[in-house]
Amino acid sequence: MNRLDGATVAILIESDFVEPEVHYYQRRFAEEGARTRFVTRLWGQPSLTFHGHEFREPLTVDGDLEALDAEGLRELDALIVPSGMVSDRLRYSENAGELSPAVRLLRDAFALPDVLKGIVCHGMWLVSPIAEVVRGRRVTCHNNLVSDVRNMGAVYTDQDVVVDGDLVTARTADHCHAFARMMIELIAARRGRRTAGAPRRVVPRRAAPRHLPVRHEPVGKESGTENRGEGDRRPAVPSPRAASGDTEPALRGGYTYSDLVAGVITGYDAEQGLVDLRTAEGRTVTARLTSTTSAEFLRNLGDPYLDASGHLRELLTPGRRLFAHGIFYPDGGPASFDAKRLVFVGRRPDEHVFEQPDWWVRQIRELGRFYRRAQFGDEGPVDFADYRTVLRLGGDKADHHVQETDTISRLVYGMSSAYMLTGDEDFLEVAERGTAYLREHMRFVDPDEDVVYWYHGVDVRDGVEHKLFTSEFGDDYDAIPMYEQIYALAGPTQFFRVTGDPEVAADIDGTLRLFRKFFRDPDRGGYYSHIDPILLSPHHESLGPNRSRKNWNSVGDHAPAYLINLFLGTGDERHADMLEETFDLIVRHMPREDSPFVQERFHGDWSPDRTWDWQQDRAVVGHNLKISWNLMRMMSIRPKDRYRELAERIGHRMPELGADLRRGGWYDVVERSLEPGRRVHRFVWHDRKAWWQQEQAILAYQILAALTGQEEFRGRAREAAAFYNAFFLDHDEGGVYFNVLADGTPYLVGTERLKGSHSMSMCHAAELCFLATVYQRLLLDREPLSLWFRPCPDGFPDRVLRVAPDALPPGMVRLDWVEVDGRPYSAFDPEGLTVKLPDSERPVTVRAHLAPR
Amino acid sequence: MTLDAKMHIDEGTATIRLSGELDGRSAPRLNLLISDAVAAQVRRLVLLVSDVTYMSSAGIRCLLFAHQKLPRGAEIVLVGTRQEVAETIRMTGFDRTVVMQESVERESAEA
Repeated sequence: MNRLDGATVAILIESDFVEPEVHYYQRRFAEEGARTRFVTRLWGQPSLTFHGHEFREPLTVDGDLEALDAEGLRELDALIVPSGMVSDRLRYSENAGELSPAVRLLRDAFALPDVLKGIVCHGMWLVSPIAEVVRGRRVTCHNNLVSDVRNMGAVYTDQDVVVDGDLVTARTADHCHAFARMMIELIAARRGRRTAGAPRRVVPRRAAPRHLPVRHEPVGKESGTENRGEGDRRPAVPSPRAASGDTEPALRGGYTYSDLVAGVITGYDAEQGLVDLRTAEGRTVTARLTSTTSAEFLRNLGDPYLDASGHLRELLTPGRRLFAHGIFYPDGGPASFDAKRLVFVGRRPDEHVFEQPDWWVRQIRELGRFYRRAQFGDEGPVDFADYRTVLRLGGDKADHHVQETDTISRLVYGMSSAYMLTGDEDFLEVAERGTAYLREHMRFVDPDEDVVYWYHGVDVRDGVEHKLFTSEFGDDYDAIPMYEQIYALAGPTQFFRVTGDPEVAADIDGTLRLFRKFFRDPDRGGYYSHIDPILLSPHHESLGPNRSRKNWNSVGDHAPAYLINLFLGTGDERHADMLEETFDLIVRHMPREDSPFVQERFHGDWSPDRTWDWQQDRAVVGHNLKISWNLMRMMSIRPKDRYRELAERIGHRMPELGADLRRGGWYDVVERSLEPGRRVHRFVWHDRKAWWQQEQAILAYQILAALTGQEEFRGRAREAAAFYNAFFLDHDEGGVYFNVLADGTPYLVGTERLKGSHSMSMCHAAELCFLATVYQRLLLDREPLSLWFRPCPDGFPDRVLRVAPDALPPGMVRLDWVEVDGRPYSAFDPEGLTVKLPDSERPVTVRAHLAPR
Repeated sequence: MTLDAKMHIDEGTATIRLSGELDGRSAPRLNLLISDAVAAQVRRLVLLVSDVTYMSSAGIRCLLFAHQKLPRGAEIVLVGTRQEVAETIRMTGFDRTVVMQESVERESAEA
């Protein structure tokens, strides 16, 4: 498949065209799968033959530009005015002062933001009769035309290729290669957004008149209701920049507001202090730098503040990714957005600091230290009697004495992962003691049923242990939810991967028997979401709305929370069987015709449940991404075409539905269905962004990029990682924020200001560090990676340690060398990624060095 | 063998005398009694279990559930627990929460 399959690029032609340029377009666009159409004024003839400027080469054209009406124009992806004398010939009009057909066509094209306009060299002549379409816009042209374009009111920019929203200009025909590449990238990006299922454009399509008038209204997302409301103080003739296609209309109803723009720099005017940013939605926003604008480099947890304010001239170069936070003023014009805080994602133009090999390793170390200090103090012994689920923003403990099983398990997961990446034994000690505490205080061994289950938690107020048997959460009250049992295994399983502790393995097996015996639906497949606490039945009437229900978590969360890790640690095919069953069910039941988002709640017979409590008919964006990510992992265990298809479909579709393409980041919960006349799925509670959903996006797009090779996915991974690292790291207190506002400001109200809550406690943030290291280093950058293990003497059946850090495509990575207790060790299988452990009476430290093949 | 269960609530204490086998089939009956005790928000739940020959995990789950539902600080006391039953309780981790006593006399002496 080519990037521009199905795309159409129209090129205006007349005599004295530049042959090499036109030939280049013919082949280059075709190479990408696009159709190239030459159009001209045919003067009533079926076709006309023109000759080139240099070699008099003939070119016969039968495309009639006068037959291109508004509908015909809309079918084009791009309209190109090439160099040479083409434009001058096409602006000829029989009646002096009248617009020629080609000029009218170009004017109509400028009224359609969907149609990319490409103008090369002397092609700008064709714009002179309709100069309003470029007024205030950044363009380039042949040196001979600089004064002409300035007279038109355009902002001449001394670059080979300049992008201003839906207008791409190039200096001369000699730059046709760079110009074509830019056109191709922009068309591909626009088509990507379209084919991913959105309405073709953000602007609702009105029934257009045959000849579209020159646009005198701002165009864009904010057009429509808001611009017209509130005593519209727009000038009668809007700012020239606002008049141009995709360029940003700054005003919003006559008031100021602050906001974030994430984009790639497309232009910088140092004299005026104006920076153009192209956002992921394909718009251009111009930011004005003020005397109080500060700039910094994105930094990791533990890094000092890195000021960039003094280097703006060198840093503001095209192609760089940049976050600009500032204030929009209602005055309109190119200077209506004052940037106050800039964040650069790297020092070099193409650098993304979070793709440095040790970025995520340093981050998990800082996270581990934060939780170690918060729960047990900086040094001192690790005593889980002191553990508290609720931590305030700075990590101090509140007057809340509950120890939730789930959060201890998540902490154990995070600490085990931190050990695997860093080899720091302090982290392993926390994991070890946490696992022991879970076994002693949270575990219910049921000898009658031969199963193990886990208390919701214990309340240790006044030094008395008060068992909390059933869930204390509103969603799951008075029941044993599958979700909590699943997450009770997250930590012990990761700890088992490191140590092979057989007692921990026995608990995991006992819990799996619980799942099979009481949660599983043997007839219709899958696992129920809740069982009652006395008879352990999913059908007991006391369960109320949770009676005989299945949901995303009870089926889909096994894989990411523990089951893939358990399979990696044991190699036991029974776990692969269970994985396969859950993924088959996901693929079969969760995607539905009624919405681009998966269905998350079900009755026992798999019919959708759209009445359940808060979920109703709503989608958690991150669950969709989680499905995509884990289906791609499953492709390396038991691949199936339908896994990959669903994963890719979600990957292509989600950005326009669940991401914030203007500011970056991913949203939380939205309505599954789009109401008539609306373009955006409504947010259920707010438009905040939660840390764990960013994680899902980063991992999903990294693995999609690595396994499919599609650049689009790599770009998404980069965008998501940039936003997460720029706005979620708490440089003041440590750890990461739970939620940020749409513009990246931390949201620190209510339970969302906490650092240890039931989902936060070093689970997702650590998982992100662990797997982003694996995906970025081993799969995307093809760099080696060392991991640490500490098997106990009686751990791992047959003394076989499995060191694969994640489900990886067979043959992609090999085990290069192994150290045991600091000495080179040779009993390992480089292809199978296993180590035959020595017969030792004490734990040994294993360092496994993996390298891409 | 069936379970015999009788409850008496007096001044914030619910006393349940059990005899027979407390298993998955009989547990719901105990659960009903306990629900009444929870509804009365008693501060103390005393179970006389010396005639209980077998207590399954379902029975212990009833007690756990009751414990969670009773007011904070409420006590559950098992009187006359047999050796095998005590072992079952220990495996569930509930022994950290429940008070086990040998006889009613001692229980009332401490009260």
